[in-house]
Amino acid sequence: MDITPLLPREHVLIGVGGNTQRAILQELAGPLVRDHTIADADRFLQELAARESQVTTQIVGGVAFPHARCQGVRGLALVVGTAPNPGLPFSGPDRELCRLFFLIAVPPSAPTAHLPLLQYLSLLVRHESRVSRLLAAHTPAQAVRLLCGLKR
Amino acid sequence: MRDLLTALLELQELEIVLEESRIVHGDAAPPAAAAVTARVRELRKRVPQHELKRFDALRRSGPAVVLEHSGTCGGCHLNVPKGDLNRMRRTEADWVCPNCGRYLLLTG
Repeated sequence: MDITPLLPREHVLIGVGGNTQRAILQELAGPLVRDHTIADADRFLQELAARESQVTTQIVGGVAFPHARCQGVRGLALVVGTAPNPGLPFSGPDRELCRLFFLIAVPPSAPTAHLPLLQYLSLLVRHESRVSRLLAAHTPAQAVRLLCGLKR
Repeated sequence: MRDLLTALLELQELEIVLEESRIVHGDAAPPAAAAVTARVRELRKRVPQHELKRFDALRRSGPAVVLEHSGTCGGCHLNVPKGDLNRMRRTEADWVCPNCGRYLLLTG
């Protein structure tokens, strides 16, 4: 899968911060608000939190895939965020901290459009070395090069 | 019809959540997934068998239940003729998009 069209440099955030799940999600959703991919940021954040409360999207290893379908999402979109060590409290099992985030916005007209992307990303992060390289990226351009150059 | 389609929409949402969970967590599903699975079972018991069969067939190629907005189907994005919409509202016809065949949950 080629994720290049989904990942302009502006959609990569290095050094995400925030003490709460909402603050983290708000920062991650920032690029989508700025490029008008989502029309109603508050509603999108509510949908993200609601989805997270159903079944967590954080997996062992400190990686999370927050995502939500929401009215006003113009198209499938991806934002990648990395947090500094030791990570941030998100929604992980046993309060494990999270360092790598893949936020996905899903348009309501295509509620399953994100499943191939989710599959692709979840397979990518099963390789610890790839996660480490991503977390070591110092610039968005570096992270984009790594993500788009990786083969499943 | 509204009750049936509301239940089917919830079922569709929850099945997508379970699919996402399977993709992300693999076999190590978090405990919360069990509650979602239980709710899916409950909804499946409540829906008549023939509707469930149709629902499952539609789900194989994307969403089975979509919303109608201003006379447009949320699945195929084509206009639904006003006459059809009126018949659906009067419950003289099933709430199904005449263009794509998906269940159409009428709004407004």
